[in-house]
Amino acid sequence: MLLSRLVSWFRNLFRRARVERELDAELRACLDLLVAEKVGLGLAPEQALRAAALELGGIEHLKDQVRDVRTGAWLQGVGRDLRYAGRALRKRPGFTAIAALTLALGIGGTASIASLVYALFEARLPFPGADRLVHLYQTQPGLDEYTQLSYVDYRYYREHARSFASLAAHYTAPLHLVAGEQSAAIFGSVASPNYFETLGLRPLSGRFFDRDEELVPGRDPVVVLGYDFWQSRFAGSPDVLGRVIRLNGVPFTIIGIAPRGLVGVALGRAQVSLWIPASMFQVGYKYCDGLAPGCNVVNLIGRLAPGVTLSAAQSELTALARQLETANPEVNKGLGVVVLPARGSDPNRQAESARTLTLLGGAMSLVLLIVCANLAGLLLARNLARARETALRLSLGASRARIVRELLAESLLLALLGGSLGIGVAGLGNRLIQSFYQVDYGGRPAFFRLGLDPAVLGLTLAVTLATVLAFGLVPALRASRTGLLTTIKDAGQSPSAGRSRLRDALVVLQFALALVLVVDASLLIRSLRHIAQGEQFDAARVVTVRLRPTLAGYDSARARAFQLEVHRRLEATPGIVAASPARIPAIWVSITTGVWLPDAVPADPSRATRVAFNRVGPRFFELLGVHPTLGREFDRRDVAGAPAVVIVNQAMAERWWPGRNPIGRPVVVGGVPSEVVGVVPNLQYRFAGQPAEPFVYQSYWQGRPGDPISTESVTHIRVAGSPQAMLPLIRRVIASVDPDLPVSEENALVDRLMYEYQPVRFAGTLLVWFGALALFLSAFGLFGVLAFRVAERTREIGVRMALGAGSGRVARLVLGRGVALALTGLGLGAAGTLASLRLFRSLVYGVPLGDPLGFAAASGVLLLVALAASYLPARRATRLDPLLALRHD
Amino acid sequence: MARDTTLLQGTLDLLILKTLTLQQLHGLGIARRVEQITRGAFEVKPGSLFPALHRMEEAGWLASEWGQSEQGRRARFYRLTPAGRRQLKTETADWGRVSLAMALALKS
Repeated sequence: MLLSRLVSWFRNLFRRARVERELDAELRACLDLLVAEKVGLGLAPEQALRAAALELGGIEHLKDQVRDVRTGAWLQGVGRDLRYAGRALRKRPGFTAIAALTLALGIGGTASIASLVYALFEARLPFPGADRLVHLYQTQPGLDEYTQLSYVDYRYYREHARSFASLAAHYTAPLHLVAGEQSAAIFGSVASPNYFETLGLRPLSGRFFDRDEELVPGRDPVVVLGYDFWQSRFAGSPDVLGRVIRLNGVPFTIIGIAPRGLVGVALGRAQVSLWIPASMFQVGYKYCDGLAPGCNVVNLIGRLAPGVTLSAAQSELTALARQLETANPEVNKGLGVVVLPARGSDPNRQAESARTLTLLGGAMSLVLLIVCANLAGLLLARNLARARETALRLSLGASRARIVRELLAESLLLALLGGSLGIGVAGLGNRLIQSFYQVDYGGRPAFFRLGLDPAVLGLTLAVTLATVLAFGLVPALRASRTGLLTTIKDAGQSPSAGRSRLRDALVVLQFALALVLVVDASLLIRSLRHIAQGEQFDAARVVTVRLRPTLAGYDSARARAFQLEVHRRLEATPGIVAASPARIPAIWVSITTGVWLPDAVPADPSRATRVAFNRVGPRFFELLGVHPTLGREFDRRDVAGAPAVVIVNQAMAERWWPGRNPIGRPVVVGGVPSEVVGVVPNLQYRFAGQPAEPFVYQSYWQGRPGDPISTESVTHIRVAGSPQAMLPLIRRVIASVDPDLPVSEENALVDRLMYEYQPVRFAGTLLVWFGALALFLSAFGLFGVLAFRVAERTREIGVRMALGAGSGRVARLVLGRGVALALTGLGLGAAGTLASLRLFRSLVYGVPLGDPLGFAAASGVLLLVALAASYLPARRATRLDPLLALRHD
Repeated sequence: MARDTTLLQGTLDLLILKTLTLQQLHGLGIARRVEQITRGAFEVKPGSLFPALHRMEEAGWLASEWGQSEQGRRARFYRLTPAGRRQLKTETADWGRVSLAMALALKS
């Protein structure tokens, strides 16, 4: 029985032609027999034939009935529907191309956003058994972000925790590399001996670190090269093992090559080129002793032991953290450890990423909705055009289910076509997205992968099928409900009111959604422009360069002399207007210092009010194009030994000396009694609704002697020409002081701003695409509806014209309809836009959120688009020849 | 209104199997034979007959081949397979039970 079914199935599926021939022959033979029987009963041949045919009930119909019971009939039915749909689509290539492309954009965009969500939140590290890998971070009371641990604590956890098969520590260090003739600024990783073992990796050649290469500081100058680094710097030469390279001035021997694909373990962060053992911590990190207690700089990555769950590991680590706290209350007070699965990017940035993606996901859904509305409109119009055919088939006995199935098959085919094109679109979209994420905030290559993961493809398929239902089902159901008589009789005259109402509603919806997207896109674009121009300063023609003489082994006296000389030579260089050192870039708010007034000394200085600060040199504000609103900026007098001076921003002046002139007033900044000599505008960027925060500037050259940080700088340089063009010259000037000194993060300030505000740039770019797409689609949707309306009402228009309506009147009829639909959409969209603004707050800079200008401009653009879309149908209406129109079927 | 000649669900299969126990028949022959043995109570329409034949053939109860009719015309002849005979036996038994039960139910 089963076998016989299988054979039939095979036969039906693969020998269909023969099976069909047999069936045909059998039925014809039967007809012959019937005719013969009737003739035998005495009927005339013609009558016999008619009677026989009547009794048999139509050979084709009969065949259909037989086909329906065959094994695999359902499959063949679908196949037949698809073939039928395919023919229908091929017959109208224009419609098909537009529909498939529209869908491809919607589906591809969705797949791209899904890829990004996957990469940021779900992606595992590309190592064997990555699902067992976890990241460990330190938690501190009152701090809502995860921080690093000390190597000492790491060793305690490694020795006591039973939850891990292996637990490794690593610190990403900026390194100045000298290998033979070449030198470069790269990132290396200071790693515990079991780092590679934890990741489940084996050396491509040579060896990884030994167990004891964490014990004696400075004893093991060995380095493992990354595969890409080995390829690019040493051309993949096999005899690099044993060769010596210099890292931050210290010679290291190459002992091994890491396997391909290892560029660090922190997704979204700078790529790591090489690894040095923990005993060499001092080379990579100088601000505290990396192997000493309290120097919290390492990140941990662990491999869970077999059978251990995340929560079990977490409870064990929490208990161990408490033991550490009891043992070392002064260093470990309040510190905890959190165990997180190694998925996606830096957990500290996931909240921000989630905000951006909520926004983009929302925008993408709107686009997809527009796409579906657009297609539904297209299909409604198309089905209406075929209404007569449908009605005819219904009256000839085709079942409604059959009609719906066929129309759905057409939608499905379109969706599959759109879906496969969409994967191509997603590839392009991913490339665009990748370009925003493949560099970190400093513009350096980042460890980031964006691909069409199977999970993402699955989702894409689901979205594709959902769109079929979204845009195909309603039109199909409507078509199948076609009134038989009315349609056949009335085809080409007046459409049923309900149908055109639905199409109008779809157009209104599209315009509403398009307005939301266009207004939001315009807000982000204006924010970006604001960011690029600078908040109260002039970002054009400013270059920043990071100089870290301590990395090259300078002591602080030499480093200071070096910095003085570099800045002197820079300012003497033609084409450079001014150069001034700063501790951090002008735009950052990353460090704070304790500040108090001399008459309100806090009992515990470590609990003093923290204020964001920077150390800047003379002419710093001048080169940023900022004029002090009161007092002066730093100059040559403000050096070590001279009275300590500070400059405050307006927010600080208003908060600390409300209503009074702060110039000349005493204030203690970072423990140094100082005098306020100037007030400058608030330079820090603020997103919509964010208040200006106090900011205090100390003089760069009054930095504490002996503090290595005070000899590092992010030097700001104002140039006369193009910032990019000046970079090589600036590098040469610095190299003329010391050719081996690491120079890094050389950027035009504008570029740095763009990296810094990557989320705005990213969201802005995507929203511009979405907005443009939405504009195009709504215009297209409106055009379709109006053109169809004109075609539908040809006869009515003819009558009007015959009765004396001028072409102006006819044109107004069509244009008025288009504008009315667009305006309704814009009204709805305005409400939607206001609702969407809440999501945007943190991405909008320098533009008021409810800015009426943006609204007005976007509405204006959309109205123009609506007029343009209405123009062609209106013109066609006016060009109708009344005589022909009246005869129009 | 003509009397209801719609076959009960399942009865057509049984009747076809029955008509084929004695000889092989072509489609029209089966229809005429059913009419004959039920004394015209059931009229088998081609729209039910051919789908049923093909379904039963796929189930392995019938086999078919081309042959000559009495008038020398080409026709497709159906015959019972051993599986068809077994099926006839089960269905006959089933039918007996059902009709007995129905008769009892209607009498009470």
